[in-house]
Amino acid sequence: MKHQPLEGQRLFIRLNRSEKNQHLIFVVCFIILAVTGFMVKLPEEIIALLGEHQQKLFYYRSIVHRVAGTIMALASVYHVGYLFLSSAGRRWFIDMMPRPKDLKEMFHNLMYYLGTRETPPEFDRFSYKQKLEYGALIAGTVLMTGSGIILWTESSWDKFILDIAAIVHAMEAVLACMAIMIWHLYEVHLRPHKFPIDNMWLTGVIPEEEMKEEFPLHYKKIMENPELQRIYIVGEPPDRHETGPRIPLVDLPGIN
Amino acid sequence: MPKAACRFLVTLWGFICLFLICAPSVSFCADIGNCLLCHKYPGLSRVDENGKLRLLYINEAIFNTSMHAKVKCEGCHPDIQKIPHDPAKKVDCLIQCHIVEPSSEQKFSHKDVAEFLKKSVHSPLDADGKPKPFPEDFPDCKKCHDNPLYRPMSFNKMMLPGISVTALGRCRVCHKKDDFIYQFYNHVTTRLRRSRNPKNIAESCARCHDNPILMKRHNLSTKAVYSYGESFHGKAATFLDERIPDCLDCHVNPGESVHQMLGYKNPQSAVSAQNKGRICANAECHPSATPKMAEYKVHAEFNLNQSPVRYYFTVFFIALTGGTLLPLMGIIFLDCLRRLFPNTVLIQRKKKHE
Repeated sequence: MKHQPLEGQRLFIRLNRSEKNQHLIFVVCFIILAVTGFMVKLPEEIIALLGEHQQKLFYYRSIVHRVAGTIMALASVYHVGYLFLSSAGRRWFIDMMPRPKDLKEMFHNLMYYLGTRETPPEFDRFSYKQKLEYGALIAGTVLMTGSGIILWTESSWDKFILDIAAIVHAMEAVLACMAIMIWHLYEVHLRPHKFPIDNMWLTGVIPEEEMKEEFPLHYKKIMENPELQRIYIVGEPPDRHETGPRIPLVDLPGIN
Repeated sequence: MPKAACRFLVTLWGFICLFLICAPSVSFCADIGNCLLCHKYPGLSRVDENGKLRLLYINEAIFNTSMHAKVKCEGCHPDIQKIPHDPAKKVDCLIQCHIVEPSSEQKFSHKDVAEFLKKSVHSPLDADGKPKPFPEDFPDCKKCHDNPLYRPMSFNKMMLPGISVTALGRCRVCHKKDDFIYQFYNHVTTRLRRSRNPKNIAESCARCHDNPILMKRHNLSTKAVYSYGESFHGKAATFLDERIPDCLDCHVNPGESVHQMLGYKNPQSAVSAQNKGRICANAECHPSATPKMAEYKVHAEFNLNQSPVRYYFTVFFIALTGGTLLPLMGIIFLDCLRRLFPNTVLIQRKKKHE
C-alpha cells in the first residue's frame, strides 16, 4: 500500500519493508491465536449451537492454534536475528533501549495531561509508551511461547509444571488481548486525529507534519543529519531503503 | 365376475386394510401386559404423596432403542398384577428378570454389580460392615443410571454413533429376523464403549461430587467435576469429544468393573499414591508420559489451602493484569481529556527569559 503525499510534503519512514512484514505476520498470528485460544473458554450454550460439528471444530482449532503459534515463534526468532544482523535492526534496537530520559518524558507527559505543562515532551524515534509496549510484547511472546511449548509436549512434564503453564498461558493471553484492544488500538488507531485507522502499519510512512508533531526530537535529528535523511525520508537520493537482513551490514555514524 | 364374488373380494380387501392400519408397528418392546394401553398417552402423570409430579408416559419409540427394550414391563415391576394397578413400588435392579444370560443360561440379574459396589468407595457400609456417616448419600443404581439408550458404532464412519448398513448386510447373510439383527448389533457395538459420552459421565458424577452439602458432610476437599471441566480434558469433553478420558478412565483400574471404584487411600485403587503415576502413561493416552505427570494434584483449584502455588500464580496474574490495564486506561482518559481542552493550563510556569 502506497501513501500518497500532499504536494510539497515529505514522507518519513517509520517501518521499513521487513518491519512491516514482521508486524503483519504478528497481527495475523495474534488474531488467529486469540480466536482459536479463547474458543476453549466458550460457554457450553454456544458450543451446543455447533451441533455435530463440535468435535471436528475442536480438533481443527488445536491444529490451527499450534500452526499460528509456531509461525509467531519463528517470526520472533527472525526478529531477534533482524535486530542483531542488520543495520536497520541494530538502529531499531538502540533506539528502543530504555533510558532515564524516558522516565523524565513520562513524568513530563503526565504533567502535560494534568495541565501543569503547556507543551508535551519532545519524543525521539520511540516514545516511552512505545518502549513499554515493545517490552511487554517481548515478555509476552517469551511467556506464551514457553508455556505453549510445555503444554504441547505435555507428556514430558510434571502435572505441577503443566498446571502452572496453563495458568500462565491463559492469563497472559487475557492480559495481551486486553492490552492490544485497549492500549495499542487506542494509541495507534483510535486517537481523535488518527481515527478510524492509521495507515502507517501498511504504508510504513508518516507525513512530515505528523512527524514534527509526534516525534519532534527525531525530526530535528533527521533534518540535521544528511545520512539520517537518506534513511528516513522517502525519495531522498539514493532512493533505496534498508529492508532487513538482505541489506549489507553497514554501521551508520551519528545515531543517537 | 359374479356380484357375490366381487362383494367378497371388496370385503376381504377392507379387512386387510383395517388389519394393516390397526396392527402394532414392529417393535422389540415386550408389552405383553398391554401396559401401553394407558402409558402411551403423553401427559399421563400424577402427584405423589410427597407432592412430586411423576410423569408416567412411556415413549415407545425411545424405549425400543434402550438397552432394556427386550425386558417385559413386569420384569422390573413384578408387583403390578392387575389393571388399573396400585402405585408401583420402586424398581429394584437386583431382581431376576425374564432375560436368560446366554453364557450361564440362568435368569439375568444385576446382583453381581451390587457385589462390586459393596467393595467400592461408594458403598454405604465400611470395611467392617458398619454404616458410614450419612449412608443415604451413597449412590444406588438409579442415582447414576437411567434406562440408557443404545449408542451403536458405525465402523465405516470412524466410530461415530450410527448403524453401519454394510455391516447389517453381512448379518443378514446368516440371520433372517431384522428385529434380532438390529437388537444384537446395537447391543454388541454399544457395549464396545461406554453407553454415555465423557461429558454425560462427568455430569452424572457432578450430582454428588460438585454438591457443596455432600462434599462438606464427607470431608471432600475438591469440586472434582468442576476442576475436571477446567482442564483440557474437560474442555474437550464439553465439545463432545469421545476420545477424551472421563472420571472412570482414571479412577478405575483398566479391565475392572467401573462399579468397583476404590478410594485413593486403598493401595489397590487406580488413584492410590503407588498407582496413579501409571494412569497417564496408559497406552491409549500419553504412552511416553513420565510417572510424575499424574503425581501432582490433578483436581487443582483456585484455593489457597488446596494448591497454594496455583493460587499465588493466579493472584499474581490478576494483579499484573489490573496493575497494567488500569494505569493505561487512566492515561487514555487523560489523553482524551487533554485533546478536549488543548490550551488549558492549571499552573502557569515561569518562562526562562522572564
